[in-house]
Amino acid sequence: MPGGTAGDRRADTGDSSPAVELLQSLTALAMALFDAAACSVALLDADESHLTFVAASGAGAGQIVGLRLPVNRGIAGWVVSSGQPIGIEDVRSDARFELDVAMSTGYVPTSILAVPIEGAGDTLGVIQLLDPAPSPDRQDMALLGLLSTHAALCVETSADHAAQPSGAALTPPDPRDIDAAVSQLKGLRPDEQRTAIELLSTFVAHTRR
Amino acid sequence: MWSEPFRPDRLPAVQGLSLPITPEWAWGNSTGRGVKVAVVDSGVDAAHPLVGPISGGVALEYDPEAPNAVRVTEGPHDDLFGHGTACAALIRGLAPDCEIYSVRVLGERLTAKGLVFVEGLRWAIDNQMDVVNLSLSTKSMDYFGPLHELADRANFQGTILVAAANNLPSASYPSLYSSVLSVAARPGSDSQGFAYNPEPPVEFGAAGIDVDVAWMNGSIIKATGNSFAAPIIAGYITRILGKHPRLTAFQIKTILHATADNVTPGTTLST
Repeated sequence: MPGGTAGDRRADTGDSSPAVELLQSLTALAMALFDAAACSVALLDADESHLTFVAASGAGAGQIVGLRLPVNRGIAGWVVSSGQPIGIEDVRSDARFELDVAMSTGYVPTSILAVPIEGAGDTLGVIQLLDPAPSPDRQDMALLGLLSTHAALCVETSADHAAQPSGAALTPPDPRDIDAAVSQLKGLRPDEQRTAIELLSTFVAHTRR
Repeated sequence: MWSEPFRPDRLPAVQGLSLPITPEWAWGNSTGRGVKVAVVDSGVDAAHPLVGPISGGVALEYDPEAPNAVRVTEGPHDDLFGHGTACAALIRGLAPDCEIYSVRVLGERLTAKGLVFVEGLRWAIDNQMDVVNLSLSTKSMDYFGPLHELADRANFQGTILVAAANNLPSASYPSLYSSVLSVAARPGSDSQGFAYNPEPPVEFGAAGIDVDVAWMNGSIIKATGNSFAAPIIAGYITRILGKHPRLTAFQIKTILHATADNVTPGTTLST
């Protein structure tokens, strides 16, 4: 970040659109599901140079929503740039930039799990867990990937998403992506399938309100 | 998701050909000397003690005024995230004498990032790299064709492309092409070796869960991701090419198949 600051804060953080509310509920659900200290969703700005945190639950949530980070730095930046998920166990030994961000929110995690939010066309943002419960075989990364699909559907079906003024938010998802999501469900363990179905039901109920 | 087939309780024992191919024959005593390896990523920090000297590199950025709308700047550059450094160090750890080239395609902003990615891969192929590590991917169909064409070109000229699979089994390029070696993180504690998955598209699994990797500012962190498994396979290929130059991509796949942890020789050519 130029000038050594961790991030900027947008003035218009009072977005309470249904999409943001849904993403907010998703972060709360993820936090509970993974027994994490916090969960956040950051979306790519229209100019593709920054990520803006639009929803968060848990430690530091009040401080991080509205924060803008350049996409050329940090774990979230790499995830959204590369389209690859990443888990880091010892964030304190990571580059100082991560600590700057963490310090600004008042919570410094030990571990981070970050997964890209992939739209039909390309990456829309990133969902991050701070200090999730240990998952030795890293099934948590696969499960968070499913939640990220949920977040992508939320963003892409919302015409209210402020970061997508180009009309991309109105573009319906590719049917092949929907088929792929259903195929993913079939490959899960029964308990994971139940969780995924509950998530989908929550989403449908919310959008019909 | 793509790591699932490599879980110890799911990974099948695979019968291979009875060929005189062993790890010792394939890469024993090889340091990767003389092999050119491109790391297409966020840049490489040559000052990191686990990386060592870089043989060259380029940084690519979107520029509507430049040829193909991408500006190519040769010379040293920073690693913006730490990830390219991690990949380079993993390759160096297996092949200490290889020649590493940094191709930075992840830059200041994401505008036309798929285009920059394509041109970075093109640079690596045009410059006759022997191995290219691609711990990144795109979902954009706009780049399906250009990346496929480049992957085929690389395959035919003997440039081996190693691509990290995405986390979700949805379309992601170039990791799903048969002309590349697609890699996922293998569950378990084995930091050495690799496994073969007989159910493509992801054919190889290597260490990528809670592995120690080089990062920014000379640090080492413990990290997880398919993107760390790909450079392990790239490192093994580099060692193989150090000992057996000019092998083709299908020969490399045959050797990796024969030397994978879960493959045992069984089928003889005479039966």
